[in-house]
Amino acid sequence: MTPQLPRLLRLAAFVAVAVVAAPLLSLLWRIPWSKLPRLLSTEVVADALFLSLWTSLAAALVALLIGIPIAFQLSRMSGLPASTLRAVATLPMVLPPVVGGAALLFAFGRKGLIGETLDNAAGLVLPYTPAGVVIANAFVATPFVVLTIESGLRALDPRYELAAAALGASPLKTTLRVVLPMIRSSLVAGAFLAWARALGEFGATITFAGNIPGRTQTLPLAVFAAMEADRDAALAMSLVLVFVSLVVLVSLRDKWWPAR
Amino acid sequence: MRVLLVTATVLTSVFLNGCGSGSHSLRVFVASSLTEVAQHLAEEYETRYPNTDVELNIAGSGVLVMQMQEGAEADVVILASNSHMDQLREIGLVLESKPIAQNSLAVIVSPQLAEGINSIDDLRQRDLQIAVCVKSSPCGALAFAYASSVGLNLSSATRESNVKAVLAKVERDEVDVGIVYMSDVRSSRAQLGHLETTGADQYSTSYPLAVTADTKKTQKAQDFAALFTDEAGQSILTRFGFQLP
Repeated sequence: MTPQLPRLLRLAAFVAVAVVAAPLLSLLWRIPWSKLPRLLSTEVVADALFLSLWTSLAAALVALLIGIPIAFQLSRMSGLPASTLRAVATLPMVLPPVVGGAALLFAFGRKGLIGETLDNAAGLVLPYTPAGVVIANAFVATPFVVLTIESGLRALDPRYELAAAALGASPLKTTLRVVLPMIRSSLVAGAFLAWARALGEFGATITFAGNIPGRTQTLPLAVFAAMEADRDAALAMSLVLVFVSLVVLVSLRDKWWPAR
Repeated sequence: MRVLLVTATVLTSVFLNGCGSGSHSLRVFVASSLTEVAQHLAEEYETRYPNTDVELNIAGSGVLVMQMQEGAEADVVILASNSHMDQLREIGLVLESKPIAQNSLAVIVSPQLAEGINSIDDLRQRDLQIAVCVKSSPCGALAFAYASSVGLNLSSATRESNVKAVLAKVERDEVDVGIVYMSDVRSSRAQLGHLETTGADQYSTSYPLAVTADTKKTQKAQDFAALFTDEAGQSILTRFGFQLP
């Protein structure tokens, strides 16, 4: 039997849910449902939708590539070094995205520390390109991978790894064949959260990659641009974002944090 | 518990003061191209009427219109085009407006490329990153009209939410070329290049000012509006590169 919650707390929860849900319901209430198919099939929207889909998927992949090694390293550290590394790795999650975008400009912009070298050496310019969108998205999405996978690793019983090692498996083999399969749900959760975060990214993208329709104008940027010009189109695109994000979060259920 | 109560009280009072326009403040919505002018005149107003604080809400005209359509309260509103003011007039948020200034377009080049680019032909021929305002903003509407008249392709231009964002990107060499206002050229401290004989100055916009229909501070709002047409206001407007109507 589940222990009962105090009545006051249940009431507070009810009010809190209402507060959170009210803006979303108001959004739904404003959606021009009958015009929806037409609004979502315009070129600007279709371009933004397609760009958003592939850049956010690419960003989630990059976030996994960067986030997994950090998470593994973190899971074997403790004390101040661990807190410091964790803080650095998860900073983009709490930082205003515009600040993140500015930081990316200072690093990868045409005048940036790394950007200038890239430009001179390979003629590679990242700002105002779809690749720039992927970088901005990956930057803000990586912390979600780090946090979910680290907590998955910490919840893992070390005896499995010790047993594998005792049976002669190398650390690499142990990691690939024993650890990764056991934290599968954390990997999936991290990937989906990173993807959902990348899909909704706005501030870092507009700061670092600009707002070029068909090239760097992702769905959130298109919503922003359309809010002034074509409110119905903005609402239609918002609906897509809300729907996709809800599907991701509902399908994750309790995978967000690993099962105890 | 006591600490909690005190905190709650403080927070509540901060919240209420912050949100409701207090009786000692005047809320002015200003188009971003007027940033410097509005800041100067707000200071001037506070010197003349020390009991009133001027709260400036500075954003692109499109954003300001949207905020007011959604119920944001303003006492005075100054936009960068008549068509944006018309949107407010149509729904009765303002009754009448008067022009306080004029501004025209300018094509600017980043400090790094300032020497190398001298004509619209250079822009058409080279693969340059251009920044303009979003089409729905006054400066964007003008920029797109101008670009099509001179055959300049803006399809790969980045569209910024307001003119100050365009200016900042050009100033810091993040883009090569920007289409902004003459007033921005005047107020910028960077070593920008300015393409002078491009015909961009033929594209100009008017700045209408209105005291809102439902302001409770009509007198204060009118006092503030008067600043723009008296000597102080006019000298500041011309100093920052605006033309008088």
